[in-house]
Amino acid sequence: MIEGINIVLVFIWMLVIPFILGNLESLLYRSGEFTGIAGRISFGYALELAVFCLLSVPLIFFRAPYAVLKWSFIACIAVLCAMSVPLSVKTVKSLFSREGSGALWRGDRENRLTLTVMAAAIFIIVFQTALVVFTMHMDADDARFVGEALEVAQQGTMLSVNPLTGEVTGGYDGIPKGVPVGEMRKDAASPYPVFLGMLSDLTALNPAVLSHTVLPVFLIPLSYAVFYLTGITLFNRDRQKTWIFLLLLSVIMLFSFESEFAPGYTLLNIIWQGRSIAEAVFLPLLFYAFLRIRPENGIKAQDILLLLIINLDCCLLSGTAAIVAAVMTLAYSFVKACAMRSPASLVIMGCTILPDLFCLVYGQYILKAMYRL
Amino acid sequence: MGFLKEFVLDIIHLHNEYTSTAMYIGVYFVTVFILAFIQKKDGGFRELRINIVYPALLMLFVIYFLLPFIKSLTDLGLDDKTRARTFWALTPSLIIALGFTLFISTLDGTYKRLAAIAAAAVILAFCGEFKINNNVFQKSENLYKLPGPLLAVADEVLKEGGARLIVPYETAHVFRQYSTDIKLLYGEDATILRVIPARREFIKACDQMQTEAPDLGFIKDIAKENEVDYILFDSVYHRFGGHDLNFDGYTEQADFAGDRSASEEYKQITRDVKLIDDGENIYWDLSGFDMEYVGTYGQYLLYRF
Repeated sequence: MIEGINIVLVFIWMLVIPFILGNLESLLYRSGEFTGIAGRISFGYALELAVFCLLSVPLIFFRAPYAVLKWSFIACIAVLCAMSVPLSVKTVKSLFSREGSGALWRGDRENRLTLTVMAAAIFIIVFQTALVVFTMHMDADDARFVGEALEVAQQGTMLSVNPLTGEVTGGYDGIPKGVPVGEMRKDAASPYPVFLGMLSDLTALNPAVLSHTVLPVFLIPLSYAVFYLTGITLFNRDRQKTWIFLLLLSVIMLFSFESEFAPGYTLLNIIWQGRSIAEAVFLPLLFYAFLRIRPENGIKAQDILLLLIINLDCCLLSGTAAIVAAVMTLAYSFVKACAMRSPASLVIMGCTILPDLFCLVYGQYILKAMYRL
Repeated sequence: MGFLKEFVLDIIHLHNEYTSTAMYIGVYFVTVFILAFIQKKDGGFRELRINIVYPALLMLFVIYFLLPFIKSLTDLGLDDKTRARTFWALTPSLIIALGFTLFISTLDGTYKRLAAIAAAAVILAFCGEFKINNNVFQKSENLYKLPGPLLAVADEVLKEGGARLIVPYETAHVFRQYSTDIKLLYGEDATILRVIPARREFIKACDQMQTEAPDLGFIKDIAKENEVDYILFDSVYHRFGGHDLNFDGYTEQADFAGDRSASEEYKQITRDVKLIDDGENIYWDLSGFDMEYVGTYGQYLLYRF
């Protein structure tokens, strides 16, 4: 059952905290353009996951108790939120005082078209969200991801139990007991299931309920929020074009079920899994981060920081996401650096894939060698 | 020649793995091609080339050439599923929507644009596959989004605080998402060898449980040795003593595509199993194998050792 307290906790962790954290973006882009609530919340999620990635990978390696991870994460988020609260107040004020916010409601023909397209896009997005929330689609991969999260939430252990059977791992052939073996090595390098377990703990919900019923409510709109940001940037803040773009994207998602790798399938069937979140939210966010880098302005420290944060997120979410993020980062860095005629920029932007490389080497080779698997 | 053939076949395989029957990648290619060649007088599309066309060409080179080349040459590299997911780097749906939007915005007049949006939506719909139906999206029975009868089984075995179960593997993933107090003899570690491959005798038990008449003598012994508390049978395909219990016409779990038939040797082991009708339920009498009937939950029958 989901009770009132669960709803409040979910609201706090899935909306309020990402929004507050997201306002730190305005420190990065002090003179930059205002990205609205979509930008704030997207950046907030990115920052939250990056912090968790930086804390969880070493703590899992050193087999620290789960409580250490949980409280250190809460402490970091609390400090970041404290830094961000004054900015959040400013953002909320500016949201209500922005000029031209009512311009869409003026009744000329152009605006009527924009409103029609916007209404159609929102209708499809709400339909898609409701579809996932009110129906069920079973995926056998959840036995691993949700099973590991359940161990975190109910037992307070991290990747020390085989999620398929419930037996403690290791303890044979010289392998220490309770270490991530086999496929679990991938989760030690990309500990999204541990994040899911911690979120379950913080919201007092079973990970299966959280994944299958609650997360889609936030993740599907979040995905479209990132698409909105992309559209606004691509079309130079032209709202009509942006909403046409979103409407067509939402149509593609409805019909993109051709394979288990298709974007529609990942968005509307398994959005709670780490690699799906990467595909639907963070890889498009990476694309958006590169759109923000304009060759004529050169490369800035804040751009690099944003790229680094998104690459860290992809590492947390899945090894596959880390590979794809690395490919994207290298391709875009090369083109942008060529456009800037600056080899140094290529090196600097290229360095943001270091977390991805570490994630792959750590999961595939270091842990394997350590535990003689 | 062999290398070249293998290389080309691998590229085709990779392409088909991602695109399957849809045409979105084709539309993506066309969009990138058009974006590469259109040119405004003021040079306004240079930015699009930098942001979309050139990175796309680089990534296409990596996905379609470099990764298959490395695999063909060294037999190393990413597995098929991971390689298929590298297509995500292209963000094809974003680029396709962008292309259509740019085209629509070149039209003057509200009605022309509306008509173009409708036409674009129809084209996009026909390029893909619509699979929103009862097979893919079933009506949810609970907030866990897991089958209700299996959660009822889980609640039953949890009455004593926790238990170890033998279950048909198609149902295994449900239990471990519900409670950590439920342990299983095997799950997908016995079928596709996930996480770590299960012990050989557990794989044999799993194989037995997938047939219509498992060797209950073997199952009983392995259950005793490994402190298993309960066993779950599926009335859709399990038949002991030739008795079929699928009175309600339940259908088989969709993800099993193997052969359920058991050899005569194994059928003989349970040929003397009788049916019991206690007025409420009809079930197999498996007391000869130290299994005591607990209850029926939808299509599933639960027994205690």
